[in-house]
Amino acid sequence: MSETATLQETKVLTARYGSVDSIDGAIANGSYKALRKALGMSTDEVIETIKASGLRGRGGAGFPTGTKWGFIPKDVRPSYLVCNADEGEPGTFKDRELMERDPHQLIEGMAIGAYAIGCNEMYIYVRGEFAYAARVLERAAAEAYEKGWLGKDIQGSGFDLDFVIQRGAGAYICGEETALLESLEGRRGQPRLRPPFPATHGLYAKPTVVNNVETFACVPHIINNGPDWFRGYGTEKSPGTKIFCVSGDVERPGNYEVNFSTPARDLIEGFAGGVKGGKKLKAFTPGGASSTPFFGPDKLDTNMDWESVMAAGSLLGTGAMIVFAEDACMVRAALRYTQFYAHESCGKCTPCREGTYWIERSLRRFEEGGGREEDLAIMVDVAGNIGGRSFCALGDFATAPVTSTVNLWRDEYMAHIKNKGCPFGR
Amino acid sequence: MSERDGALATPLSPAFHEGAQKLMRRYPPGRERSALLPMLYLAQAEHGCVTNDAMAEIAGLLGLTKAEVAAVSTFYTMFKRHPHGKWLVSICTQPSCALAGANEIKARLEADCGITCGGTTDDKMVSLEEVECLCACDGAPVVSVNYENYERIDAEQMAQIVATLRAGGTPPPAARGEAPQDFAAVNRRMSGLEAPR
Repeated sequence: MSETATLQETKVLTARYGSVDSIDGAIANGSYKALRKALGMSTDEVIETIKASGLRGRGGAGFPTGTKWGFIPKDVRPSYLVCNADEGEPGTFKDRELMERDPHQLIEGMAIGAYAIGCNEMYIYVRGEFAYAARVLERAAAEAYEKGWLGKDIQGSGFDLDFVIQRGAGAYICGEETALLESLEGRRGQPRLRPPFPATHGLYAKPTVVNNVETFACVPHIINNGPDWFRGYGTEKSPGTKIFCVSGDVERPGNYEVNFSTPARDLIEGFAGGVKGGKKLKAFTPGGASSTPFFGPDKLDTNMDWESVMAAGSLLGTGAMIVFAEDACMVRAALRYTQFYAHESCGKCTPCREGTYWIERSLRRFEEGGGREEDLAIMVDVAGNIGGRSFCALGDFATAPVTSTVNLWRDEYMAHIKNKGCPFGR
Repeated sequence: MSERDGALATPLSPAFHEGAQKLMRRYPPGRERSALLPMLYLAQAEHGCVTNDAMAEIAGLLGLTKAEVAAVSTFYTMFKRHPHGKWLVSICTQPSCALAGANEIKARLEADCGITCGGTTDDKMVSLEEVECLCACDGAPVVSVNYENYERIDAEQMAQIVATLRAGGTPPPAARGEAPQDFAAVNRRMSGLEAPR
């Protein structure tokens, strides 16, 4: 890493952090300018602007945002807009910070989206554990109502918009958009069968847009500066900036907003200061526990955008880069991630509910000294019977830690067998 | 309510019912069920957990069966089935926190409190739990007290905070500058009653 000293973040979404403690501070720093501008445009113009920007959803799937908004039928009302703030992917912490440190940017982005799809009642579903972020949002929403940026006849435009803040209650699956809608309707957070899609049958079976926090945060900047400006960042297919969350065995864990497609090496060795204590890198996840397979050091030069990470064999997910040093145990990591999926499986589908349970037990046996070589094939077989055989993607993702580590670090499993337990200790 | 259930042991308070009515009005007409999760938080604030009686009362308010309310309540980790302590201490042990010493914190707090995760101290002051990623990994290891995070904290520092709580003291400011409120207060806040709408 020769250019470490010259690396600079590209701050767009994170630019106002620290200077927007109140709505007055936010407005002095440019908040709600884009909403005023959007309210002077036609709804089609707003949607076309977002389409032209190439903005893709930051929640993990990367679906084009303008296209999603364009799916909302114009003749069915009410329509709803929902912000998915149920951030729960292990290793992800960008949405929490976006809410805590610039809540008006998010409210403004949501309001622009609501105007574009003809929605007068928007919701945010905030992860229950994010107590502080939800309080910040409540305070910000109260200010926005008071200053006429929410409520009846926003700034004399004739556009009415209400904002409901709903807290989750501890269920990772509610980050899946149809499970989120079920939860918002007061039900168990279990995914719905699609089609019909939320665009026609979403919240209360009405046309609904669901987008991630970071996605909405991009919107005011696109309206203010135009699609070409946005496309000046990142790549043709992954335009804009992206916040990457770097954590684990690094010197400077944190959120780093960079040009989309910045190489993984720059993020890990540059911004995050490299592996902690001068150790060597063993592995990293490009996009949280659900991005698989894990990457080894040979993938450090992968550009962090949807296409490049997929071409390298994994998934960009939420951009959560968890770093493991050479002395970290990958069997223990696989066990802890599998426990996560076993706990968070909603229980609807037998393969996911039972499969994660059995894989967890097998992995635990390796850690505790009872692992056998034939267990490796059994775990991969069980994983094969979860993936593609469950209702939602959680089942597919749940298999990744075990298949990935058996494939890439089989020697570590063998060392557990030989050592009759974990030879690493961390 | 069937005959067999008899009288409600601990009815929810008038304040609960006032809050519940406000919560139900937040949603479009006919969609009052959306207030179920907020109402469960409000009930938990009164009883320290979601009791069977509370579920029955809430079912009555929303026109649901007790089974429907129980199905929802038991789905979500943050609704507790047994009374919890004044301070709920949640230790994240996901890899980013584990690599930073979370398992040592967990072992220390369990030893100090004389309970394992999932338990509550006899004096009902502290409950311990092991949780999934709290999504504050830049601050690993992360331990929350009533959902306020203490970050980049070691076992000794966290043990001192828990000792203070068990002795009846107040917790120090958490990572975002605000000190945790007790379990009842934080659950009341979680209901969203203080939101502008």
